[in-house]
Amino acid sequence: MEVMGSLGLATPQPHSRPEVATRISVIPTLEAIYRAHSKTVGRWAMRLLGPREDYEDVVHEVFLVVRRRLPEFRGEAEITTWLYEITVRVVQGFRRRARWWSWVTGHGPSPSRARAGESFSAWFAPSTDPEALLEARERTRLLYRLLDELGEEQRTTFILFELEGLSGNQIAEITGTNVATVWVRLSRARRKFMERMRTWETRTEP
Amino acid sequence: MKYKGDDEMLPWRDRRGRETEAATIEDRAAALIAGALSPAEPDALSLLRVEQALFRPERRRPRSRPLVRVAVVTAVLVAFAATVKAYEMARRSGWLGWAVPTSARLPGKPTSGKGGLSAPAPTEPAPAALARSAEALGGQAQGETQPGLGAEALAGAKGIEVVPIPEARAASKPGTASGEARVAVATPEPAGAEAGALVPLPSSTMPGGTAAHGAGLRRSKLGEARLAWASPHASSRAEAPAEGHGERKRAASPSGRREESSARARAGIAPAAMSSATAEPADAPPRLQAASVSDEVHALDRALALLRREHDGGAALLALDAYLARYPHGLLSREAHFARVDALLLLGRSDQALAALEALPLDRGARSTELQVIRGELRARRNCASANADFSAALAQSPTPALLERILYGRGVCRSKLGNVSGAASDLQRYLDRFPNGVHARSARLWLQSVGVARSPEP
Repeated sequence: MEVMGSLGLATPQPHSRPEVATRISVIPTLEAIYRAHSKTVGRWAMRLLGPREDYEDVVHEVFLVVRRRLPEFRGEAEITTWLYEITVRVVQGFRRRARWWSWVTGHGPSPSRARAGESFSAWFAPSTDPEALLEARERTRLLYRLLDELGEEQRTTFILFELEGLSGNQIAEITGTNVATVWVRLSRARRKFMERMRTWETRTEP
Repeated sequence: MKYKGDDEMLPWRDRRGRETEAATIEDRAAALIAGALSPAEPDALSLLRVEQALFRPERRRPRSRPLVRVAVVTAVLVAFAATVKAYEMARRSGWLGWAVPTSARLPGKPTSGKGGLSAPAPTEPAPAALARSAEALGGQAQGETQPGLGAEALAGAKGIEVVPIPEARAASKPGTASGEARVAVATPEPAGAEAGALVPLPSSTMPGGTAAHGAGLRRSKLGEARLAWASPHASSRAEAPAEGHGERKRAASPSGRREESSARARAGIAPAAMSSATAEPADAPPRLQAASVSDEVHALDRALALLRREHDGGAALLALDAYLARYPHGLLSREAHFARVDALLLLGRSDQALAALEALPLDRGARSTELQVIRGELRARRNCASANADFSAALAQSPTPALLERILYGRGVCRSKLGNVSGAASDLQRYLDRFPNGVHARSARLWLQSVGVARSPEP
């Protein structure tokens, strides 16, 4: 900074905020982002989608969006937050298209998706006991079946808070809303989830 | 349920959910979440596939759904076609305010003024429709086998503006059977002809004597109710003593047919279109063809392009005749008539051009002065008195220098032929004063010297 005369006015200099310039200069390339975060994005996709085989398509689509939007990324937010936001949006769009397709065709996901079936191959196995593993898979299936009955926003908020363990502020940043909205959505999602669970229990009671 | 704050709202997984009989639904939900599986690392093979697709030279696009796209495109096309069809039906049935004017509808045409949609009638050339409507009227044209007559009368009765015939009149020889070649002799129309007398339109004014040209009905200027007609039969080629005869012969010979068909092809006229009057079924309902202005402009534009740019007089003449047959009362019919004169001059058919010019009103319009000069020059070959009138009228309209040169020389020559030596000398002197290096300057000097009028030496 230069000091102008006796008035002590500071002359603005270009890149007078070194931290911003530094952050801009360290924006990685797509290859670097993919190598560093592809597994994380894959895990997020699996978490948001459930035990499905087509999470690979979501990962691919996420990184296509990353490639398209990378020039706009200024480094103001953490890159993981940015990736999470993209993943959430891609998954929501993916599920929306799948719902539309199932409504049009009347039979589940697109028939062109040969790998649209269920898969637990990339999910943790809590124990080697087959019975426990089977029970855990049943619980997971039930959980995602109940989640599928929520709205897309409530479902995302519920998963991020209850399953991923993110805070309200993080969810608000990822979903592009404010914290109050996150709590409202979460409360409604919980209430709806419990209603659906009660219905399911009633239906399956002997 | 009111939401709690971030610090007050604990995740269910931290509730140590119980699945006992006494547990609440919230506890059981928490237990469900705690007992569910969590995703581990994605399959390395899957990530490798994504990496290969992501970083290979051509970008892998997300999977397309061809069936869905085809269905969407088909739906859009069907909707568009339905909209266009509905619009067309509404336009034809007169639902729209600017539809076909009712004055142009002929009796017998089914209308749907009460809201019902009428099936669109097959399109047909206006002359053919007029001809059939004349037949429907009957009466007036009994015994003359001229279906265009009643149409003319009908058109007049219905308030349709009728353009005067641009060609010389001809009278048909009586007694020709219908369907045979009708013989017409191009004679000046008798001044004392009765009102309502029928005068066949000579095909000598039609290229090839085709009926499509003659089907363009015109009202004679002499008699108020005098009508001109031409046979709509393509096979009936009228004969004319002057150039029409040769024209007929040319058309009749194989080479003439080839030339004609070639010109038609250049003019973009299908043979079927030229003889559509005969191709139409006799029992088809009479109707006028509602043509849009853009179609009309396009038709004339093509004809003018043939004339002005390609200098193809034959093709231009065919195109103009087709235009005039299709749009006898079109917005641009006056321009089409003028262009037709140019095409005839380009083909060297001076007599036909003169006949066309004599039928046109030249008292207004952008080219009126020029056409008056042309008519004067054409008239000067036979009738210098009328040519003089044209030259004088053109001279009074402040002509351009190029026209002035032609006017002064033409009037001078005509005056000399009429024995008006002083008038001719005056015109030719004026000509030489104004255009000492003009095209006819040498002839003018020679004539002035021959009559003893002193002139300055040749520059």
